[in-house]
Amino acid sequence: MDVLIQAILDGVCVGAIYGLGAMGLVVIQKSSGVFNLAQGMLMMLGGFIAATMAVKMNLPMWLVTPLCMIATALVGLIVNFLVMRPLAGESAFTQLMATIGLLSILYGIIMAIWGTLPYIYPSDIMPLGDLEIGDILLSSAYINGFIIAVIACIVLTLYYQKSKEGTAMRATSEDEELAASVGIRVTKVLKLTWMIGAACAALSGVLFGMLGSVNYMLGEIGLMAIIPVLVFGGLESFVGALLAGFIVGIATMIAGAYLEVTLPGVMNVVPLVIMLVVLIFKPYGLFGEERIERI
Amino acid sequence: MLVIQNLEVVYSDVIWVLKGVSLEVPEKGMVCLLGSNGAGKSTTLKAVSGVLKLEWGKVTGGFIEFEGQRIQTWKTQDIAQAGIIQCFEGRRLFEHLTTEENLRMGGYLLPSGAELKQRLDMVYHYFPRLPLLTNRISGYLSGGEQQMMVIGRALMARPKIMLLDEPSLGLAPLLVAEIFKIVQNINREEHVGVLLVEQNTKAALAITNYGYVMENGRTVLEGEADKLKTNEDVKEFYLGLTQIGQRKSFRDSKFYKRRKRWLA
Repeated sequence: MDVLIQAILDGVCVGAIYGLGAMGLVVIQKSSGVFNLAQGMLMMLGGFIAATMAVKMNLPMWLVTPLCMIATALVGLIVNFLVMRPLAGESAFTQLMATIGLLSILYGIIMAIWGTLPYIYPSDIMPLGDLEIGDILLSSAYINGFIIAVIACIVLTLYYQKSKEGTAMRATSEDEELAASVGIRVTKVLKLTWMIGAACAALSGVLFGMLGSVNYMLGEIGLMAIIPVLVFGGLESFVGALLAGFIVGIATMIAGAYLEVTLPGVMNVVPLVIMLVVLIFKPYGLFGEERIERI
Repeated sequence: MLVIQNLEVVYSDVIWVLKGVSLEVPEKGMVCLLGSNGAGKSTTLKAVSGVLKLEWGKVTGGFIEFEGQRIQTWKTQDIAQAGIIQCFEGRRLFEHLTTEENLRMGGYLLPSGAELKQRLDMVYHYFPRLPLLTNRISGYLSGGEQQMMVIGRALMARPKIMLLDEPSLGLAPLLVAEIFKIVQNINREEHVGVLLVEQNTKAALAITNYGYVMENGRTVLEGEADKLKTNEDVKEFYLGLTQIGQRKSFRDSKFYKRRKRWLA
């Protein structure tokens, strides 16, 4: 029984971190309509920047995290300026291909700067420590990740649903021409989008790094972890991303606890199986926007 | 207030769409622009609102003057700020946003929340059906409701002139009459100028004071709405009326001659 409870709690925490990663993608999808495959690389970039500051400069984590989010947001701004803005108005497929190119470029740059050695965050500098209830142990990385992800989800949802600028972002993703004609500055919206999206990526990159280490695989692993969550939750919903993260996380952890011994590697398969099933029965995900068709 | 003089527009550097459009909308005036498919009516409106630039179109000749300023090179957002608001053809709206969010986006440029609230109340006053639909996803509204919302959205922006592109498209005649009546009221009570593009010639001439007719990228005929209504060419080409009892062959040749004169 303890094994199950432990697996569920672990799953919720890990799932929250997956969800946060997916939210970065939701931000970009929701306000520019681009599915950003380079999101994993932005996560890795954030993780490495944070690692440099925390390990090499010995800065505390509460300072490192916002700093690396700002730094990655600036990278997002550059990406928008160099790649996405010239492609504004092109087809979604063209923009998707551009993000694949971006993925390779970012990967190359990160390899050139940080190389292949893993970095491990110092574990004693996080706001909350390990939690022990009976036989169940939750590591501090899990607890902190969970809290941060839930807060981020609430903040982002409120921003997009209630604020004027958030609504303008949703409007822009639907029809750029119409948005411009009511006076929305479309280029400003796109800038802001990529900054927020990249900052989300950096934050989730740091949390992913806390689960193990920051290394050159984080980009791919991150992307493979968040895409099933994103598809499950729906491309346009933060709440969907968080809930889907919980479900995928719990399923993965339970599979890990019970099946990993007999079926090594099953943990990596579970999210993808869930994604496949969801695509068959609910192609827009749990909370995704359905395409409106009128007869 | 709005003066267009010899406007020429080219799409993608090769497609010559407008070859000389001249028209004028006086302050608080209500003017309609008529013409068949592909005459360039929508392009004219897009050139005025600046959306043309987002569609690879370019003004290559002539000018557009609004309150004494040449605006053809302005950015779309600045033109909106100046008070020219367009309603696109086919009731384009932000489908996944609710009715109220759509309207609020219309008032995006309003400086204060209080003013936004005030405009919102005004729109709800003109379109009493809209307050019942505030939280509905706009993509699922009926055609008439969507058209009301779209005009309401334009009204939110505190426009000096509204460019309406075929508001009657795909709506039942009763609904068209209702919406045109509201547009007329807005024009009278809020002193908003209206440039109305229509295929529904009869309905358009009934509510406007002055009209222009476009053919092949040029304005070919203009006049008071009452005069246009009785003009033989307009009657024949757009209102579908012909003189009864005349021999067909004679009429056909006459039709052809007049048509040729216009297209030349």
